[in-house]
Amino acid sequence: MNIQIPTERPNFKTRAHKGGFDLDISLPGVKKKDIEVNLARRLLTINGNRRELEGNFERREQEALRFELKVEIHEDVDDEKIQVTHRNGILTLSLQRRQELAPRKIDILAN
Amino acid sequence: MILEKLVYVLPGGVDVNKKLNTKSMNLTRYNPNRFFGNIDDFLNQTLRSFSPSPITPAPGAYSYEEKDSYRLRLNLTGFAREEIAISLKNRMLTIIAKSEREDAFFSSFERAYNLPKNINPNGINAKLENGILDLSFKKLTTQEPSVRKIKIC
Repeated sequence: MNIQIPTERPNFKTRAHKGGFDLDISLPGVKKKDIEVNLARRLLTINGNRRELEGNFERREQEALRFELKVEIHEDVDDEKIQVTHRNGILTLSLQRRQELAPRKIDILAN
Repeated sequence: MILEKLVYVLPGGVDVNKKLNTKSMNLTRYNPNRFFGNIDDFLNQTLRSFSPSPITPAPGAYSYEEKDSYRLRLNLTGFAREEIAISLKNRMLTIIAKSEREDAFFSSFERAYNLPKNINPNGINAKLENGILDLSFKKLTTQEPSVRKIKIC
């Protein structure tokens, strides 16, 4: 039997800047060690488990215990230079454009 | 003079003049809601009285009661410790957070809670972890005897 764990897709947003873009993922209450970031070819997968809140809550919103976000990144993104930071419940992936694609000046060769 | 003798009777048989405790009758504009009052307020108050929790729930907020304390958890993703201000004034707890950082999902947050009477104002603790603000409120101990015997020397 295939038992599916309720999975949610976390909120995310992107911020473009000169050298590439940043991907912010909202993961409230998730510890750093519970987050996994994988890159397979161009498919970036961020997943992990949300620990169940301890305590006798009288009412609470239904919360999935597992989160997963799959993003296909562009060819221009340098997969060697992905940096991940985690603070205040936000996971930020900094994606850089490939160096060789950056605009550069071409020297004219003299005869 | 005639107006003074006019008696308005509520559907339940209650004399309006008595209820409002007025001696002279004033002319008032007809208000169909007068006898029912504000129905929204009435429903809110009635439904709230059934609520087992002393802390009003809101999206992203969880509250629960423990043996000797109340707990409240708020989603404050993206706010740093120094960007959150918590203040208590006359049992009104206010949480204000502001952020100008780019990675934040919300730029400001503000919420106020009316705390129950049996809370010890010195026993409030706050903890921020991975974007979740965890507040705990210690209850006042009711075991303290209110009557004390004083010896006569």
